[in-house]
Amino acid sequence: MRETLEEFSGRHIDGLYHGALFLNGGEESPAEDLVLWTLTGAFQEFRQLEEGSATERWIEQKLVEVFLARTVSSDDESTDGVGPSAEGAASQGPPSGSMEIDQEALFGAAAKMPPLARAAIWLVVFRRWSYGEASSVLGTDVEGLKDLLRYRQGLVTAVVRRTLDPSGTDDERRH
Amino acid sequence: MERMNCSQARHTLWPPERPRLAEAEVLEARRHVQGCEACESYFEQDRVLLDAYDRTSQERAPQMLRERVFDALARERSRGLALEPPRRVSRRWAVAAAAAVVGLFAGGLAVSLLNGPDRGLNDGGLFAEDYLRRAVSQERLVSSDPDEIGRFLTRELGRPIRPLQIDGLRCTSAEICLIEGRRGAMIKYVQDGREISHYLIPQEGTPERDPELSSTFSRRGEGGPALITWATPEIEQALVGEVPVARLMELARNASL
Repeated sequence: MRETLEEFSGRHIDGLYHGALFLNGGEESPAEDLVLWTLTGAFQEFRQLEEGSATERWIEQKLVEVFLARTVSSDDESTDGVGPSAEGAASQGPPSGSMEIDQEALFGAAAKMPPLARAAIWLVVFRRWSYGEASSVLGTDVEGLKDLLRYRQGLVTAVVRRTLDPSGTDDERRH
Repeated sequence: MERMNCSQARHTLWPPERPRLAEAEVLEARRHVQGCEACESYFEQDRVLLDAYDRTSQERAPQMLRERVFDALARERSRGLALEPPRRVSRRWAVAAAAAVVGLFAGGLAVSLLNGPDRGLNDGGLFAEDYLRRAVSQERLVSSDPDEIGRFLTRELGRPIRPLQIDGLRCTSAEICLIEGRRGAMIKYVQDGREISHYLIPQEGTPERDPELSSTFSRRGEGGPALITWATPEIEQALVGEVPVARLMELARNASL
């Protein structure tokens, strides 16, 4: 018997919620709305999916599409604090040894990045999509995707800075 | 072959944990990364970021969100019913549904009159949706008739479900429940004045399992409700109630026969 969307949602809702939290810079309310819109919007299409389809990738794509569709385009300019960096430049690497990354800082730093960059990083860095698949979902080419992924360096820097200097203000954590 | 740059090397080796054939391009990319501080740092940063993200993923989505999602999906499903051929419904449910439509119409007409012509109920789809939802779907049945409860659950869940028929145990109602997205049945019984609930959650591939006392309640010590769980082929089951554990276990063993 084929899985229902309710069963599918039950299996994936935790992962989708965490993706939505990252995409929304740690804000819980819009993250919950994003998951809700994604799963209800997927209702009709889910029935038409062929058995054996890559449903996890499919719903992740839906999450990003809904997020981008509902994000105000002017947000693309709000990059204060975390910006792209030249890909080839020597980067500030993570500290050696084990360190506790401040997870709130991760979401907080994401909040300062353009939505499209957040979506690119979520797909590629966290969900391990290939460059080709991710660029297709984001409506760009591979070179455009690489540009977006340059924000990743800023994300690491912000997270590491925040972790090493936990006395930062709340304003630094969230926009 | 032209020397590979950072961008090409990262693209070629992404994602780094994926096994890949040792083709010339891959070997060249690996050579580049080994001799490039920036690229080594890039992949190290990747590991740190992924690790940080994975740690946040251990938290579960809020219960309220789950409920909102499942409620919304139920609404979508009832909308979908309007597009499918109507199912045969019993005369009793048809009468109840018709009464509901009449009631709604009367209420809706009153609202329409109060709000002016723009808020009228000209959209027949609203009635059709509600009619179908009420006519073919029901979430609760109050009855002490095991046959009626059996028919109700069989119709709602699409597989034969029978209430327990054990001396001294009287069924009082049955409900459709949703646990982790799975529709199931919850049948309530009364024995010696105490309520006992029996959950049956159909789940494909569930192997048979003997009844056992769940640690969920046993940790709370004496005096609270007891919970016994077990499985028959394709159905997860549980009994919960404020009755002695031994009695609940006896019921579960009878139920699994």
